[in-house]
Amino acid sequence: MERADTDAAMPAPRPSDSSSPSDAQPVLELRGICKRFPGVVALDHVGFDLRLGEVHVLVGENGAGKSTLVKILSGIYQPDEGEILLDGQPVTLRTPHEAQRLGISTVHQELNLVPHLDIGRNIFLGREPTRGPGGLVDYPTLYRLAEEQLRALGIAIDPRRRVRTLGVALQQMVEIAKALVADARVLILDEPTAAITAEEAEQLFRIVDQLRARGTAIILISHHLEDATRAGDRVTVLRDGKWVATMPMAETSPREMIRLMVGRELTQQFPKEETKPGEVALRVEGLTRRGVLHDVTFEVRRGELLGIAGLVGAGRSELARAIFGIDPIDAGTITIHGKPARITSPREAIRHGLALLPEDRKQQGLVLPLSVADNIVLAAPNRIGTKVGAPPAARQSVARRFIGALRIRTPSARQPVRLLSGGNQQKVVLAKWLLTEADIFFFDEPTRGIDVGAKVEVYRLMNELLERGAAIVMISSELPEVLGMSDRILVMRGGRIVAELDGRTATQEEIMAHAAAADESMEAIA
Amino acid sequence: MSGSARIATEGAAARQARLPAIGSFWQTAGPLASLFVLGFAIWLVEPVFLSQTNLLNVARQASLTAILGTGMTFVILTGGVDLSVGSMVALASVSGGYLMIQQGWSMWPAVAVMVLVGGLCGLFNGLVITLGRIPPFIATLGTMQIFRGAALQLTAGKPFFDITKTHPQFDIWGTREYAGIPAPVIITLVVFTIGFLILRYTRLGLYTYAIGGNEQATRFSGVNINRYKLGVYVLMGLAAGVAAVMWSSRLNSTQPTVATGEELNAIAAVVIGGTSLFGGEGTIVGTLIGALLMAVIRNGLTLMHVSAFYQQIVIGAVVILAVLIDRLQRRNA
Repeated sequence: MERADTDAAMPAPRPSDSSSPSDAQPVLELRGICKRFPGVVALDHVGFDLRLGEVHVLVGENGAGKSTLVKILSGIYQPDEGEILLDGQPVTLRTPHEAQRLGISTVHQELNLVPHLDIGRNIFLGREPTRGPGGLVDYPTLYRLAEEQLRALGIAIDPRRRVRTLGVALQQMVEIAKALVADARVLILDEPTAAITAEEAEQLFRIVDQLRARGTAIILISHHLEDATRAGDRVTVLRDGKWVATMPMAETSPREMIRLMVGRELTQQFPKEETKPGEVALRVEGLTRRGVLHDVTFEVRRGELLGIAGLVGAGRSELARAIFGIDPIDAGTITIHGKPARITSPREAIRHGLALLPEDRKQQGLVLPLSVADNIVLAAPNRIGTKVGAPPAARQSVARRFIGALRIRTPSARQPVRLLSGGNQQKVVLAKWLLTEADIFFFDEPTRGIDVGAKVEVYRLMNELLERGAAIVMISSELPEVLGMSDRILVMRGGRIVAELDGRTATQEEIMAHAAAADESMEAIA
Repeated sequence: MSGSARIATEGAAARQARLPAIGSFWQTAGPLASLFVLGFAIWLVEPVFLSQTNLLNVARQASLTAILGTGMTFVILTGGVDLSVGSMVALASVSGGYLMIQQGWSMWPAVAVMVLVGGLCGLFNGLVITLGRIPPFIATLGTMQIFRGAALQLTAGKPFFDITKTHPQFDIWGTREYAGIPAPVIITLVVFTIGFLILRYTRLGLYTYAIGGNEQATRFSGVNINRYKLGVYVLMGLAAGVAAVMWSSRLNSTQPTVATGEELNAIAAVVIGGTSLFGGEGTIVGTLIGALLMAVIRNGLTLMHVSAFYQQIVIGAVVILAVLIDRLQRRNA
């Protein structure tokens, strides 16, 4: 009864089922769930089951499909294929509301509370106790029930306090209380420990233990392996959208989990070319942004590609933002080509030859309704006209040079950039920075949402930049990409650089061990 | 630095399958077609509609909305709005009247001050919005009251009538005709042309679209957002100043209560013209068509002896319809 994979498409061998923690009924069962997005298969025939009173941990790298699975279970996405069974009955979860009505509540990583309302009203939002024929909200009862619910979770706090005055950990507790008030039988916790301290996490896990004892079935998503071993009864490993293994926690180890998480073949082509790094282009020393980045020091040379690996939330994008002058820094110095640089805005960063290809292309890299040409000239209007002028003909002729050179597939320079594919959009962002004659590039998740063929093109463009003496800092959650393209690799965790590895000799396991830093696994690897 | 050079010049063969590029023409095609269809329909019922006198009358009626709409197009393209334009017209207007009638200034410097007052009002709006980080809706809701109050205070609530009695040249902006074309129409065309050229050929124009399309990405591209937003609100103010000159000349008086509610007509013209209220998409040609469309509707209904109250209902419905059609087109695109 352990088998979740009634589907024939299950690829990997699974460990034998022995001593399962309980013989309880599966309350929730997924069978052959598939979800495709343009250019990506996010979930490929994934299945597992969840029993009453069990904490089932889902682990996997960034992009393994955990978030997509959560969104399907909470009614945000619809699966393209596959079945969801609740108490053995097939169900469809068309909306978050429907999922909740069926007893599946999710505490998302981005918390969904109304900050200006108090704790009690948040907990009972949409199901306020009423009295009288007019259906007036019975606030005394509401606050009394809220307080009881919170006390049952071991939290002594006034339910009349506004949610926005609470820290992340307490807000999570409020979300959990809210789910319990909604009679959740299945509680999904999506990366609950990502933004809280170790003590807060311990308190959270005590509550998890308590709920398990009460018979609630819990799915815990985490890429911190300590969480998995601390709280989980069973663990399911996902990799590249595929189910890899489901194992009782007692029978596995962090080391095995890491191996299963990253153990894939390098299927992609990385056209890495050997370059001889030149003089130091960018040096960052003691960069600190309180609560986000701590004493970050590194340098990158001309012709060198420096990879930055780490889990989501490790501070990688924040590092790029701080250097690029988007977020203010509290301490630290930046030296560019040997000269100290004070950068407090993107304008100054650009003047110093920096370029940022942001992770969120559509929100931060492009102006979607504008044409390809207008996007390309946006950062360097001085290349196309006088102090005030920017005639469309000049914009387009400049843009056409880049459309040709970068092989941007677009019917014309006047095409709105929103109609281009992800890969071509990324090339437009790159063209924008080539026009500013930047020579220090930050690529943040350069190939996210780009199909495989276009990825290789992006890598080749990077190579060309390196060959011309540019310095590249590449932030990526795709370990094969980091390993395949980097000369050196920095691993970040908790806003710090925790390791520097040689791009030629580093392994995925090594990077993951530093990034996730389960102590046991560190020893295992050492 | 040399990194870009080769990539930029290498290989120029990348003309792939030609999809129709969505140009500015199609964005204005809808309103333009409505204008012709409507004009044709009115002409069928009331042939006098297409007489030269009547058409010039329509153009004159559209002028105030078109001038303000030109400035408003910039503001709305950045994702903002300016509710204070009617009040700006009033303040600029009475400033001129005050200087000419009370202070005995001659016409030219007074007219210059009127335009300048508009520009300063716009600058004030822009400063509140950029430095104060107040949303444009709120900021201009406030200045709408402030400017109107200032206009009333300056004149103790009283209008200045009959300006041409002391300043006989003052009619050149509003009532005279040149080669048979009324002055307001000429002023409108000049303002429109300037606006069109700025929007199409300058950095300010490019950034106006970019800021409205995605302010964050534009800032990350090193654009000084505040500076260009300020420019846009000053342009709006200058347009209001010009409108004040034209309108006062046409009325031959300046009144502190003039142009009340004109901001809504200007916004309506922009929206009917296909510009998105979220910013980033739209054209100034569309706004001109929008202003004409509103004037044609009013004129046609007047010719058909429909009450002015109905006119308002129809204009309101047209605004909603225009946005609805725009949305449906976008969904199909």
